[in-house]
Amino acid sequence: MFNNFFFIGLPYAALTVMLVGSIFRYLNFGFKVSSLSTQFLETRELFYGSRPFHWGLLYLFFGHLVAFLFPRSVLLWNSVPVRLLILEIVALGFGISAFFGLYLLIVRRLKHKRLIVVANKMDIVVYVILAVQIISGLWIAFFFRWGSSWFAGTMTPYIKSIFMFTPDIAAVSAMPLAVKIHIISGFTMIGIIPFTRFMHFLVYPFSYIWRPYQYVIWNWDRKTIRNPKVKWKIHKPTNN
Amino acid sequence: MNKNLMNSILLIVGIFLFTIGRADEGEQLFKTTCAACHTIGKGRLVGPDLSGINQKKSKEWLVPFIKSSTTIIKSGDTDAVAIFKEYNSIMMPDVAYSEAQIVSILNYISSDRSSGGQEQTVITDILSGTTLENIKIGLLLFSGKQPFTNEGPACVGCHKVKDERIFSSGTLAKDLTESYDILGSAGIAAVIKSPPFPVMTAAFTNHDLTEEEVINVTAYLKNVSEERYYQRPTDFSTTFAFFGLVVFVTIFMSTVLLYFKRKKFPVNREILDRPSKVIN
Repeated sequence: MFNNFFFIGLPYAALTVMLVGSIFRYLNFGFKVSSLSTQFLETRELFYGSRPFHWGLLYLFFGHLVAFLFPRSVLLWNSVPVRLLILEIVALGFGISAFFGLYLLIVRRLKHKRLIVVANKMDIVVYVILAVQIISGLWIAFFFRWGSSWFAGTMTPYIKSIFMFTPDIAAVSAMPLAVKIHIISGFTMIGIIPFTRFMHFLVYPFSYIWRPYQYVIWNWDRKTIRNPKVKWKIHKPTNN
Repeated sequence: MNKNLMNSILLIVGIFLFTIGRADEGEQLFKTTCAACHTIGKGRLVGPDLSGINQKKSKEWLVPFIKSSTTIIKSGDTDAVAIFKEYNSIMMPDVAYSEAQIVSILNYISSDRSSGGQEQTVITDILSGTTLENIKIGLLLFSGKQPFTNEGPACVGCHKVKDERIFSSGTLAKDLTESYDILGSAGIAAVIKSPPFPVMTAAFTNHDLTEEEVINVTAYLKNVSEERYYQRPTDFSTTFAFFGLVVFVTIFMSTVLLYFKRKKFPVNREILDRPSKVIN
């Protein structure tokens, strides 16, 4: 019952809510699809939290994705012990990085009153779910080694079975508690995407990579510009 | 033809087919789940020989025990605890079968011709005739340096053994150092061929090991068991955590260096000063 609810019911509910909710939010409140930056209110501490957090999370996200999409390649890579160790150690490093970043971000949010004012309830949910997810991930990485190997053999078939609409939960049901928590919080995270700042990862501005250059004119010396008697001078744009 | 007679024939045929189906189901379930650890009249493996089990125990006792032996043992049932202790305290995994399915397995055990006090089959040790070469290949297979023929995952991904030659053992599943002492070669081979553990079953579905690979891995595990007193493998946990921290510090320093020319304050002093520049 417990297993059916969390490993069959929850994934389908989460994926449906994510899909329908995200499309609905994007179509109806397109301009609100963002993570509502607080950089203007506090920049210095944000940098030390946000960078390690996002770098860590990006690596781990793509790591999980690769293990799901190319399990055989991961197993082949891991067949040489040194390569397995490199993969696991680097993953642990990025995991610690994400944890450290999240810790700093939570401290920052609580420390500055102006940041608490702009935080909504779902931001707190986001912090809690991320903390559960990252801590359970580190727990697994350290105590249930080697995740990269057994993920390919046991988790990939489970996730695949979910997407094929033939859920097979025999393996996940027998997994240690940390793994179960990690899966449950993972799907919960997917389910709350449309209601939280998580939405921003769906609208990553990839077009910035190939869009043409924009020529930005910085009219910083207004006095000169406004004086019609003086010929305009081209200044080197100076932002910061 | 009389309609009632026709209905009766159809009913009898239906019941007959249903019974055959059940018997087949019992056989299939026995072979996929139970045969890894039990035989019918061929001696004990990991668990007891199930020949004549229906005569020794009632269905009322057997069905809940098979469904969840852990629950029955924890409840303190004297017979269940005695069996558990007799068989090296190895817990039989719970099965998600219905009562009807378990009864079909019990029916298959009763109907199996090899049971019922017939001549006991002498089990030959699968490791008789193995050499150092088998152990060597077994080590390569166990550690993943040599892939399995059907692309099954390497044992080391989940299991740990006390062996200096392997320094990156997994810790998800059981430590297999003493597996040979507990299960014997027949038991290990049976578990590898038809794993009674759901995680292992999932990992090896469509990736069965060949007969030769089973023998090699079993030979290696026997060797591990015999050599364990002379092995002093280093515990990798601390080193793993240490290197993880090193990677983290590297990532952190990289971010600081990469974004060294970042905007460090929310409002640029220079921008604030501009109005005054204009005014003056």
